[in-house]
Amino acid sequence: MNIQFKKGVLELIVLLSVHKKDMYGYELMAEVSKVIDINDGTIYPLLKRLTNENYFETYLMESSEGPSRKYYKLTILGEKRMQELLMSWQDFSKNVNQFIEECDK
Amino acid sequence: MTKKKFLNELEKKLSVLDDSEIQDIMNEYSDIIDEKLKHGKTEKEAIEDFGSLDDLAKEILSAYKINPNYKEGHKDEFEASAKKLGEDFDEFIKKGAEKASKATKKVMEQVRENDQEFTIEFVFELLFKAIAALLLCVVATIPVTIIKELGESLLGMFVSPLSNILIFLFEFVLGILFLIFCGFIFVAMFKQYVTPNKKKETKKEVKKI
Repeated sequence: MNIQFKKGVLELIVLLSVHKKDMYGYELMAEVSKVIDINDGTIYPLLKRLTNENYFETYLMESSEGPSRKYYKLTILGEKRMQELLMSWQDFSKNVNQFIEECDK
Repeated sequence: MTKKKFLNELEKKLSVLDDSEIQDIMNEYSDIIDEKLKHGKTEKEAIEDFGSLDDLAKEILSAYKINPNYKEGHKDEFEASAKKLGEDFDEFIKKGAEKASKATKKVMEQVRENDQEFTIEFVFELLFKAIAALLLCVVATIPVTIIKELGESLLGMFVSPLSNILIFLFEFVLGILFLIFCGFIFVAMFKQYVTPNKKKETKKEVKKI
């Protein structure tokens, strides 16, 4: 899979995942890996950045399996951002797909 | 690499951050590694998944650059321009250093062409000559000062501010002459090392015969 494509769409996928449900770090990495193959080292710094930019809130929750975990949750700003990126992506991929069809003719 | 070593190394690279942030990051990574171990990976595998430690640290640090979306825009600009200033200064110093080393290399080449070896003796020779040249310049300031005093008292006889202007011009010219004189001394001292040795060429011709 192309690295540039992956980088471009990573933020959108992360936001969509947390939109589905609040997640903790490892859980989120696993979720994103289902969609694209990404280096673990890229995801956490991204989570940090998105938190610093107020798209995420974090909270600790006790876990039955061990120490308490830090959960990520989308803020209102984060929801907005997700919608923006989603629309951007849909426009973008629509245009690209259209162009590909035209080229094939 | 063990988990402990990984976390230590990472912590070092992130030391610029707040203690609370560092602690937060360390906890998260520790949890993630633990989670992976639970799912059957070895410590080594869990850590390899993160890729290069350097890149990881860089990415994490980049999350702390102030986001242009924040309204605290002015702080960004200041930081950005201060950073740029530092970078420009670095560039400037580097260019200066490059030029200086190129000039030095040229001189060294020239000296070598004159069949002069760069022995310690030679370096001392240069050093002593430099000190001697400096001493000459220092000694030369004595007559220069005398001339300056004379000039000042003579020119002081004019009405000020005319006398001030004249004195200023006089000292300026005197300063320049002095600098030229010092330059001349240095050139005279060190010229021999830097001019191509013409005698060598005739020697070579003789040998051919």
